[in-house]
Amino acid sequence: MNAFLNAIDATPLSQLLQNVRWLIPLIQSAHILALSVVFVSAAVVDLRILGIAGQRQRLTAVTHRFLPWVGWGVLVLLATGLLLMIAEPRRALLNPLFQIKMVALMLVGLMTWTIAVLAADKAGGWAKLERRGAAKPIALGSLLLWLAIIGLGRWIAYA
Amino acid sequence: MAVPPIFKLLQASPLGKTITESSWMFPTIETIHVIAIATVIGSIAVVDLRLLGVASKDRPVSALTQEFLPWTWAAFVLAACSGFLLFSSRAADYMAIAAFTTKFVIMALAAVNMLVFHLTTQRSMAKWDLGRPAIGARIAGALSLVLWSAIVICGRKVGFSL
Repeated sequence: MNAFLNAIDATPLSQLLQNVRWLIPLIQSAHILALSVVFVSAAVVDLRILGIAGQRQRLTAVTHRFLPWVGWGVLVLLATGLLLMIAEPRRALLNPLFQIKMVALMLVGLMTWTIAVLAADKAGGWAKLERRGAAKPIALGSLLLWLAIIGLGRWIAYA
Repeated sequence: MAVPPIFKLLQASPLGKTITESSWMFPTIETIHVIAIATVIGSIAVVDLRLLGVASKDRPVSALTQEFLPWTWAAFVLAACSGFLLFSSRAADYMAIAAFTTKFVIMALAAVNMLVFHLTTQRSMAKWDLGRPAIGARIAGALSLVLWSAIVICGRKVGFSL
């Protein structure tokens, strides 16, 4: 593992990111802007499912409008996140909080994908989910996971 | 330029010292701050993208502003409160960082942008509520996105400096 981390550390890209002082904060800023788009877009869908906001809109209208932003936003998060990892490989890869954050991200990705597929399902997939009482828990879980992911992201700097 | 004494007092106050000396308070308050600003930026972006005619084109601007801006305001209050607590822990140190004061200057510009839009272009909103937004709306939306991005960059630079 140590050899792997040293290898990343030694790459030209990593060296560039470490040596040009303003690059890491700039990439972190892009990461924050992307997470803002992702978080609010995901929250709009989750709050709609929870019956807290946007009730006048059809569910499919809301998912159709906002879930693509979650998808593309997560790609930007992954790209900027990868750059940050390359810049500081130890900080990311050796920190358990980072690993938990990635697991949480995979979980919320699964939940979001479920919502996307079932909401668009014309054969009543969404209604089935609601009848099982699973729709609102998934939406609430998704919201809480995004909040946790943001928190974990910040705490990486301290732990 | 020397930092005014009031900031040194704030930093040395019981409030400031409690936060500095705690192992968990600053990161926790900072997390709340990040969640709050993410909500501010994200919700403003929804409205700005609509003003630019890029997203939610089939919905009236007025409906979007009514739905999203209350969240923006609530999140802004949370960001300001959490921000003040963070600030109090090292007030004098923060005031010495150029990016910190710049951040508030840009926020003032964002407020002016919003005010100008509200007092001028928004008055004629009924004419362009649906369909292609008026040029004033597009300018306001674009400016808002640029200014808030700059605010985030300043904020990150501050965090990186201390």
